[in-house]
Amino acid sequence: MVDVRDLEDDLALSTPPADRAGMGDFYAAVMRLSLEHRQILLLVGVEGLSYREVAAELGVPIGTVMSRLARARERLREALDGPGAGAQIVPLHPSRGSAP
Amino acid sequence: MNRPAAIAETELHAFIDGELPPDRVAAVRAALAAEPALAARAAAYRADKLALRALFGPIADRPLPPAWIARIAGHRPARRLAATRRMAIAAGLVLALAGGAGTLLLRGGDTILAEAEGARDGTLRPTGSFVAQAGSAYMLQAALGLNVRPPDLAKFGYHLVTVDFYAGPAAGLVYRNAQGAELSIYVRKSHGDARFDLLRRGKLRVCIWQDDVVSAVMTADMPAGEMMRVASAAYASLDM
Repeated sequence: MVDVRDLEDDLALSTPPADRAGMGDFYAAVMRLSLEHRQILLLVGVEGLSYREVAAELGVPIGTVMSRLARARERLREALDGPGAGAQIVPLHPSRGSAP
Repeated sequence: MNRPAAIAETELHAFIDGELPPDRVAAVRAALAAEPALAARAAAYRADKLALRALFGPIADRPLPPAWIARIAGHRPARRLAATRRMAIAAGLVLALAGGAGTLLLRGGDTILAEAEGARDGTLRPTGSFVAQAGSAYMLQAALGLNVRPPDLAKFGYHLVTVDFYAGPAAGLVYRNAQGAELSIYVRKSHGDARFDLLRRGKLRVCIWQDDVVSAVMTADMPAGEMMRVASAAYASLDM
C-alpha cells in the first residue's frame, strides 16, 4: 500500500539513528520550497528523469528545466543553511548564469 | 597560473546530474579544482540530491496495488492496459507538494489514502451507488454533512458518471472522459491538518488534498501539469 504515513518508518529504516533529526530538518527545508522547485528537485533527484524527460513532463523548454533546477537547489541550500547563505555562493560567469 | 574559464551555474548542475556535454566537462572540472568554495557547493548539491533520494526514494519505489491500477486502466484497450501496468509498477515518484500551511508528512496520521484505495479496489463496500444526476450535489451534502458539490470538470473533458457512498461517511465521485479514461475523487470530512500531495507512479497520479473541512484523494492517468490543473480546479469548485 502506498501511504505517506509510512515515510516515518522508511526514515527509520533508511537512515542511521544519528541522522534522523537531520533528515527531519532536510524534509522541513524541502517543504519550505515553492511547488515548482520541489517538483523539479524530485523529478531529477528521486525519479531520476533526464533534463529532456523533465522538460517533456512539465511542458517547458530544457533551458527552463536547467535554470529552474539550479535555482531550486540554491533555494534548498539557503533553507538548510539559513538566511544569508546565498551570499556565500561563488558567482559564476554572469553572461552564462542561470535565468531567473 | 591561468585562471580556469568561467562556467555557467546551469553547467555546474548538469555536471552533477551527468547531463553536461562532454566538451564542457574539462572546463567544469578545472573550475572545481581551482575554486574550493565552488567545489564545496557542488559537494553540498550532490549531498542534497542523495538526501532527497534517501528521504523520498523508499516511497517512490513502492508499487500501487494492482487492483487500483487495473481499475484505472480498466477502460482502456488491452494494449494500453499492459503499458499502464508496466508504467505503474515501475519506480514512481512522490511529489510532496504540501501547500504553505501544509503539515509535515512525517507527522501525518490520517488514513485518507488507505480509504481511497479501499474504495477503488472494492474492499471498502459502498452503502449506495448512484448514476450522476441533477440531485447529486444534494445527495453529497446530505451524506457527508458538508457544504460540498461534485466538482465540474467538463472543461477538462471529464464528466461525473457515478457517485458511491461509504460508511464514515465518505463519497467516491467517478468521472470519465470521451475516451473512457477514468478520474475519481474520494472525499470525506477532514480528520487532519492541511496538506497537498501529489504522488506519481508512471503515468498514474494520485493527488491528496486536505484542509480543515475536507479530505480528498483524486486519482487519474494524466501528466503532472494537467493533474495539478485539474486537482486545483476540483479543489476550488468542491465548495458550494
